[in-house]
Amino acid sequence: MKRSDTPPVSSFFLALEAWWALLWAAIVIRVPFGRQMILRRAINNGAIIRRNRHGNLGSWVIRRAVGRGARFHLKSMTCLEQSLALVWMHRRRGLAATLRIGSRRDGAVLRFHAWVVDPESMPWELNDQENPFVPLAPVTCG
Amino acid sequence: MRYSIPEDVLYQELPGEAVVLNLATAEYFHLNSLGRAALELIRKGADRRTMEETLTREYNATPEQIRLDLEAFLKRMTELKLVTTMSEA
Repeated sequence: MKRSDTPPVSSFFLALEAWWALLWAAIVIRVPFGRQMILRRAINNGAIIRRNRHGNLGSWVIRRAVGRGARFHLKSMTCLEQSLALVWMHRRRGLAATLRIGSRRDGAVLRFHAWVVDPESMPWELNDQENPFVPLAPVTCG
Repeated sequence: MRYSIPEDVLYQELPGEAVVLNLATAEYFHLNSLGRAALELIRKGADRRTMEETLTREYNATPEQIRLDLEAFLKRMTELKLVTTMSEA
């Protein structure tokens, strides 16, 4: 199936938006209060907030824009920063996206990874089944 | 004394251990079997004495050993803000 593409100019602005989203993610996760608020929102299920007013802009176009945006930052963007930017850009367009943070034991080291799941479209990078990282979930008391 | 788990804490069981992560502080802790059992008791709302009694029964250890282990565990978890103390009503 042929994917619809975005015009070069739109693609440029999308990459620019991704660049800003990545910068904002990199800043906000270093501020304790910001990190708490932002991560809590991103981890909660991303219901479709409003109608997708950007036509059929696919999830993969956003992913590609975030990838491009990440290449033009001075620091390399972590999986958490990229995932947050992805969640924001999806939700801004009314697309569902949820942040997952997972861990796995790698010898003596405990490794963490962040990724995005999008129940409305094709999974990208790693989905919950293929991902060797086990997603962490909120603790329910009671 | 009772403890509670902040809502920003995420939890996951891995083979033979468990991981708790506080989103607000980005601090994490991996728990052994005793830690998992203690956290489960906290989740159920058990107070400190109940936790000591339950763990002593389950782990076939001396009450003194359990008390010391639990104290160290709770102290570390509180420092990392993975659990918080609740004032008794």
